[in-house]
Amino acid sequence: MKLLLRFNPEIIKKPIIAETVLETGILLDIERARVEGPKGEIVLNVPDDNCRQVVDILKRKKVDVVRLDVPITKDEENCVHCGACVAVCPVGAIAFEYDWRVRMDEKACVQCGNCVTACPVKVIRLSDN
Amino acid sequence: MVRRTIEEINDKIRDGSVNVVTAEEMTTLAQELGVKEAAKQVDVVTTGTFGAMCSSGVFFNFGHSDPPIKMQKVWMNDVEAYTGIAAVDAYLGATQLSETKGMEYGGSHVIEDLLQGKEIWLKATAYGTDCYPRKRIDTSITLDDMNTATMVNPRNAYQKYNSATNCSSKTIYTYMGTLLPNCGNVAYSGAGVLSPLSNDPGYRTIGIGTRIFLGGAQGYVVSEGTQHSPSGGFGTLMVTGDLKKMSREYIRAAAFYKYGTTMYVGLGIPIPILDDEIAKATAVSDADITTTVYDYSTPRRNKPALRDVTYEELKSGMIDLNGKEVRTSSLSSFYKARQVASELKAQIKKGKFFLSLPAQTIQAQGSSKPMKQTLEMPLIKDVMAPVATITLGFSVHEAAKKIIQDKFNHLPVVDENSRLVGIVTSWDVSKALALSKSDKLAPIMTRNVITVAPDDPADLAVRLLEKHNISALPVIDKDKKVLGIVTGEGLSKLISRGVQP
Repeated sequence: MKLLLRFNPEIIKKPIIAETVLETGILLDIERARVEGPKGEIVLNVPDDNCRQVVDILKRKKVDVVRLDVPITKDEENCVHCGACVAVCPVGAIAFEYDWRVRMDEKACVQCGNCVTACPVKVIRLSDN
Repeated sequence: MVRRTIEEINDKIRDGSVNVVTAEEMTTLAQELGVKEAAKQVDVVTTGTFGAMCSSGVFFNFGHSDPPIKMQKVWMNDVEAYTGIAAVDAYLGATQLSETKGMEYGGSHVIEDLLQGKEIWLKATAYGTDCYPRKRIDTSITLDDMNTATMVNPRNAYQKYNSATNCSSKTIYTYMGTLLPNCGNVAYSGAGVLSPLSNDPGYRTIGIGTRIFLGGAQGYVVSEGTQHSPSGGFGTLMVTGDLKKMSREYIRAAAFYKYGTTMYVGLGIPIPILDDEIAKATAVSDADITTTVYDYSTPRRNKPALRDVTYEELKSGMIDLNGKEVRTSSLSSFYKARQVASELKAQIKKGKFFLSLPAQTIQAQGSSKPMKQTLEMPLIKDVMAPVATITLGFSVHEAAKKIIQDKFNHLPVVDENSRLVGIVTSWDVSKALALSKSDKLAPIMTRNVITVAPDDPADLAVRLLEKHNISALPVIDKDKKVLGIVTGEGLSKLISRGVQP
């Protein structure tokens, strides 16, 4: 399960992720991290079974947690299946199918946004959680 | 030996007995049965391509207003169209950018909006004459309201195209899409086995007047395209068709991030199988079509070529580049190219599309020339200044002394082999001293240095200084040895001397 964590200026300097790992013993995979000014965002990949536990702890630490069910969407009707998004995806979440349609594996997406800017017909969107 | 005439094929189209296959199917058929047998069975091979074709646009005739206007400047949804023709005609190019929306919206988007039946805002200004007194017009207009909307694309259907990668350490945004640093990806374009001109490289059936599939309608080849360079396999076509009959399915606006707008054009050409030789040409496969991977981080006409590659390798999704597996992906849509070839096949089978021979053949040999440049172009080596360097092991204090002694604001940092490893500015040094932060250079220097080479044009330095918002560029040779420095100040002096960078 992917989680989007938002850190406000109050807590941004605290080692919250490290604390959570130590407290729970659960391995948290940081897929993306961005700090802009006093705020920060992290996308975490958490094992499904432990998700509840991790969310509870993070919320207690005043982190704003959002579940990323569908990290990215592609407007299939308007996609021309050119492939400009395919090789710029760092995790191989976008690929050509047997018939040369472009398909996205939403589960593998880490929301880097490379494909969003690379798309010439503007049909890819990060879900705005 | 098969011999057919266009008339015989058109008769077969008329009576429904024509045998049409797509270029992909023809390749398989020829591999299975041999070219001679395939030539016997097949009357027509359909090709198709759906790529970003910047050189596209539409001639509009808006009809006369009352009182009439002789448009001097005209904008369609804030995108300027060219009006240096008759009073109410204009040519809108796909890559012209909106004056209000910038790179997000351009000529191609206006064309797509019109195809979707949307109203667009037409604004024109004029100087006013006795017969055309009006000086301004503002109106909203749809495609149906135009008298004519004739698509004329000066350079379409590239036989094949360069593939692109980026050997620099920064992402670049090009007409070949986003190119990730350190050869992180390879982008290519062109339909390979389905490419119209790759299926008739001798231009025996494709020439002036050939009826083609353009944007979902029937169009024609006007002539060879601009920059037509058939000897190197870079043939192009100028094509035309009626926008009013086209469909958004085959014409799509596109915007390449930080590059600009362009237009995806679905173009297909039927190739009549008149003899075995033509059949052989249409049996071409992706493995037969070769192109070259270039380093697009060199913003020069001659880019470093990394290797030759076939469309088969490119389409496999991965190629080897200097011993590293690099992911490849296309910019043109093979899925849509197939759709074009299949749609054209269906139209011919249904008796809705007849073939034509060219009224005149086009050049099958020759290549395009580079631009003749008469003004001397200043190079980096003409504008660079000498610069002192400092070795990595030295202290911040020593760097400060050196900056004062040599009166430079920038101090390139080199390793023990005098190769550039970083740069410190007088600001970096002052800050470090003021905060008494460190006595070592390494933590305060910028490691990712933007550099230029002595033979680069001075224009490139201007672009890099602007793009990265920096004030100087070390000049280095192939071994990363520092030869000098180019500063914003130095370039200003050049301009004040009247030399054009």
